[in-house]
Amino acid sequence: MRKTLLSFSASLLALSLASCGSGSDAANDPNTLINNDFETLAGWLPDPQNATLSRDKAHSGRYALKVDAAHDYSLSYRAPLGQLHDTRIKKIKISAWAFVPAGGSTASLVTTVGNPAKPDDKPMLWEALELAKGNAVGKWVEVSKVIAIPETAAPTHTLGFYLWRTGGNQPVYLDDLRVAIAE
Amino acid sequence: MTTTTTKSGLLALPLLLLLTMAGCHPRDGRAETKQRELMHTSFEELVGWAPEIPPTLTTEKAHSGKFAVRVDSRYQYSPSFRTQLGQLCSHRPRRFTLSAWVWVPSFKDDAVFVLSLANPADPDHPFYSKNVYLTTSGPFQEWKQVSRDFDLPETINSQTLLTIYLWNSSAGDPVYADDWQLTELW
Repeated sequence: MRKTLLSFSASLLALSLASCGSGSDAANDPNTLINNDFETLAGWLPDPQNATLSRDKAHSGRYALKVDAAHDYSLSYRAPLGQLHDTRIKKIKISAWAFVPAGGSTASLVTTVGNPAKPDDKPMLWEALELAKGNAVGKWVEVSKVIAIPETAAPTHTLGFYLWRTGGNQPVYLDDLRVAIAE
Repeated sequence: MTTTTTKSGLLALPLLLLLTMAGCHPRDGRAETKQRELMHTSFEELVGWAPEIPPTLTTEKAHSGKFAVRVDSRYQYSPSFRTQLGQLCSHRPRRFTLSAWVWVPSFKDDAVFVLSLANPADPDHPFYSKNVYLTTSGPFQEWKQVSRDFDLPETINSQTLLTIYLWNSSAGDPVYADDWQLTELW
């Protein structure tokens, strides 16, 4: 029994060591829910989503998310809260790197919590993290926000993220999205 | 040319050396050539980001991470990697190498990787289609790496559609694949 446990934990260790992608420290942190540098998705998604993965600019690797005049919304992330963590998620910290060009383009990283059985209902949470603030344009800037998950959210409710273009015609990029449990 | 080995490095090095020495290429005179990565995936990030979870995605076995793909008689095709060549290369590519780790139950389970090139106006009838065979040599019932070089035809351009997927073919038992990588020598 002990031997089985030992080899099990050894294989767990091997598994966590093997996980690739950006920031292996973050990837190994049990509080990390999402850690995506967008390097392995291009080419694997249907065309409408695929078109918002771009090689024009990237904070790490070659790919980043992009919204532009032809795409108001990026591809989106959706997962049931209960699948992301064993215990109820109270607060999350979202962080990402954003590139907003000079010239008035704006975009937000939107977080949602909603009931997948009622997709037409207003989501119980909708929070926009604005990417262009002050003079932080024309360069990669780290943005972050802590968001409280509503207490009434059930494990079956979905947590979602997407990039939303709110103004201007120049493309806005987002890379290295990390979502972790806060506190 | 199909190579199957559990220790990729052993074969890749002399092969790389040979290729480098082959000469007679527009890049003659440039400092060094190396395998440039065009695509890699270990299928960890599709869940959540894909609009639907592909039925061939599995956690039963994985070479790295939690996920791999599994093809069987019910779900015969893995998710496809599909892109225009211009999205991968800013020049006309000459040779691609596809490699992956596979878990094959026995020599009878002859699933194959398919790499095809098609005109975007007629995506369902590729003008070039080649396989990577998984059962030409062992081991079986364990992870092994397979790879194949593809010399690309002259008729390609930046619009040409490249598609890569795993096909069950006539395999009886499930075949697994993980850690796919596409590189070019450049």
